[in-house]
Amino acid sequence: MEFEAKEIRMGYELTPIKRTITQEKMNAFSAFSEVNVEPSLRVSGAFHTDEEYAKSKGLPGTLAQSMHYYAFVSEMLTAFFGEGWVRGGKLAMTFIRMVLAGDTITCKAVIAGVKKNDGNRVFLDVSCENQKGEKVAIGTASGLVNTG
Amino acid sequence: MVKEAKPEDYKLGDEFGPLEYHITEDLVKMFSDAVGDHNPWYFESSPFGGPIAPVIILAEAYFSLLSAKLGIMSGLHTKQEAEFVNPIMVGKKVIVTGKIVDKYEKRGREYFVLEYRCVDEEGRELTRYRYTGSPYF
Repeated sequence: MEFEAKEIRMGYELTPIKRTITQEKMNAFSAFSEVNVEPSLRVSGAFHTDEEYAKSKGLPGTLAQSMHYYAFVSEMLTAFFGEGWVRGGKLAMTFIRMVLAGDTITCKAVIAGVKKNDGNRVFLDVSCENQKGEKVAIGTASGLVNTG
Repeated sequence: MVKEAKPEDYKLGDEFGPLEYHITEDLVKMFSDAVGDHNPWYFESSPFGGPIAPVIILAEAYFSLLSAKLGIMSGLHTKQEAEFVNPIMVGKKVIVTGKIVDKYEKRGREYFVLEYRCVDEEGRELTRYRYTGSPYF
């Protein structure tokens, strides 16, 4: 499942991940994110699970949590780097557009550089875009290709 | 009446936690099902000597850290940084602590930065996070 040496080159595109964030998945993610939250405070999930509540706060509908698709990016990079992601991975993303229930998100990564004096660290530009081709998150990542 | 965190509640230097998570098989399954990530490393075995959790499993802990002290948080999450230091082994307990390390204003909007880190029961560092957000929509 991990990279082959020939793939470690500038401009190489990782296998993207494309996934639709349904309301059902958003509910499941909200339930997970609140496992350690006192029950009386769990109404906060309403931004992500209750359309009427979200609209009452001026939002166009329920919002997907940014960590939901941040996780897609990490999944893509785990598949590429393997151990060099689990020990040594770095991910920084800026969230630039709302993701709503039903949006289909495609996460992409392209190799932007290799630094040989830092444990063979490979740098990538990463992004997530919606079904309209609009970027919803952009950022950078890096991982180790030689964890020896 | 549920207490809601207000923008002025986010104070520079304020510390949060500790918050303890038990990384059970059920917790990992709950996360994996929600995001659709079913890597066999999470359920069978991994090169780290047993199943591990997705590295990102506690990224959302900022919400629990802040809400437990300030009341329910909401607002814009604008940036997230993570460094994965060691695997999160299934069966372990993980302790999360955080601190607000920066507050600033940009184009008329307030922001704060929360740094938080996850360590296991033996004090081994697992993950470092840095959350940037604005305390309102």
